Amino acid sequence: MSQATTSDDLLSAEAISDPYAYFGHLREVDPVHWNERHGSWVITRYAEVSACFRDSRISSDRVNPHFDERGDEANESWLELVRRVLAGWMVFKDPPEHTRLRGAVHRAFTPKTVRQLQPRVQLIIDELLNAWPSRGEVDFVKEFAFPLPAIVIAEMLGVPPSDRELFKQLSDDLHPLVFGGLSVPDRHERAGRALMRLADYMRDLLAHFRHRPADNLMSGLASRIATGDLTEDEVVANCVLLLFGGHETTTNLLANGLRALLLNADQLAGLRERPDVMPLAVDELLRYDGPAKLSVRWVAEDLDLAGQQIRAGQRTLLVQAAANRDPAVFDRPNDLILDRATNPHLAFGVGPHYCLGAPLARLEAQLAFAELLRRYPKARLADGELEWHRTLLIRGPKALPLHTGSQQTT
Amino acid sequence: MISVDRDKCVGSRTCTSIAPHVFSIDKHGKSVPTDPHADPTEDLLDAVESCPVQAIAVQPAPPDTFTANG
Repeated sequence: MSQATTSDDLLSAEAISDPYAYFGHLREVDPVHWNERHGSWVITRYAEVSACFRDSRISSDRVNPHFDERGDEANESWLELVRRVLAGWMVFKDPPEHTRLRGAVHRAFTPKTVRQLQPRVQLIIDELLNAWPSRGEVDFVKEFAFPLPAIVIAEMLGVPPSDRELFKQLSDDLHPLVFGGLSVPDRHERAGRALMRLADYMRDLLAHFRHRPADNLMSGLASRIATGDLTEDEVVANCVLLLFGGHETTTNLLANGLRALLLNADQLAGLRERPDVMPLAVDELLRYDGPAKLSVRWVAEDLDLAGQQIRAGQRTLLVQAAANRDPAVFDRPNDLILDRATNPHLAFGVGPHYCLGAPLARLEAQLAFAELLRRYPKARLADGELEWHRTLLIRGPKALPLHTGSQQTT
Repeated sequence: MISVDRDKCVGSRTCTSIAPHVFSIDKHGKSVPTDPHADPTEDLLDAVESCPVQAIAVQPAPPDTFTANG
């Protein structure tokens, strides 16, 4: 039963190009599967994935176990710094520490605050699309899906527009550390240096806003240092986190989402006729081909899961991509149904680590798709195979070549 | 009258961190109002607006409890 018929390599070409077939098969034959190659439990049914997200015996503190494993290598100074920065990230914390850190930033991401950002987000969307050629081919990832959420979160934090390119470079270097999960020494070293540079940058920006507060998220966090609620290290670490959380994931939501829309012509036609369906449509795109393929959790206490004995210290991979296509929860799970009314998908996770930025991601995607459909009614995907990011955690194409067709000028 | 829509609640614990005197997390990991008739304080309204899935509703108490099921 523990031997699935498919390969255990989660980074194989088949698992990367079609994770829904790969993990869907696993969900049917061995929903709580021990994967020897990755040294992890692979959990694929909705019921168990959702239960694990909520279970306090499954810990999000996956930084300290990982570095302890690496033993004496951890003496190297760069690795110590990575550990210090990462250990301050609230995604890697359990309650009550997590609750304290999250409480400090939640106000910036509430549905109400996010609604107030709508005109600004729309303006950034318009600026990006105005820069597109009037017809021809563009790489949707490079020319839209990457810069939009990066600009939005950078502006929220208080990063000046002149530093955007620096951020893109640093974030590209850090990408494999955060979204990988495999031990490759060189990768860690390069990512460690990029992380330090980003942390240094954030520390400088924080010093600036402590003296000259402005109307941005970092100034708000700076005031929490003065009151003793947060330390400077925590603010720096979590600003770095927000920058990542804010753009890599939304980038892939936009790219996967647009691809799914353009591959499902009848659904797209229905959405054009009923633009009010857009909020449901974005959630269906999150379910159908969302950016978070799976989430990593460590087992803090032994537990029994669907008949399997899960031991403290083991690693679990909670596969949202499989849970979101579980026929026990979703009718016609492999079909894109944009007006799907009941849609308790796990694309944002569930429980204490439910994505803080969910309201912002939803807003960006809703506005972006509406504007794209309005301006480019004849857009279509360019021919050719896509190359997908080869990582455990994230699902998204490296590039998405798009024929824009002629632009609507109304 | 404070209520939490259990189908919508994702157990993010936003409300329990903002208004711990009004909400708690049950054994299913979902929020329940421990004091459904709490006064609409600033904390409570903040919790309502901060819920990432907008699962919390605050309604005026019905004037006549006999019509409440209608």
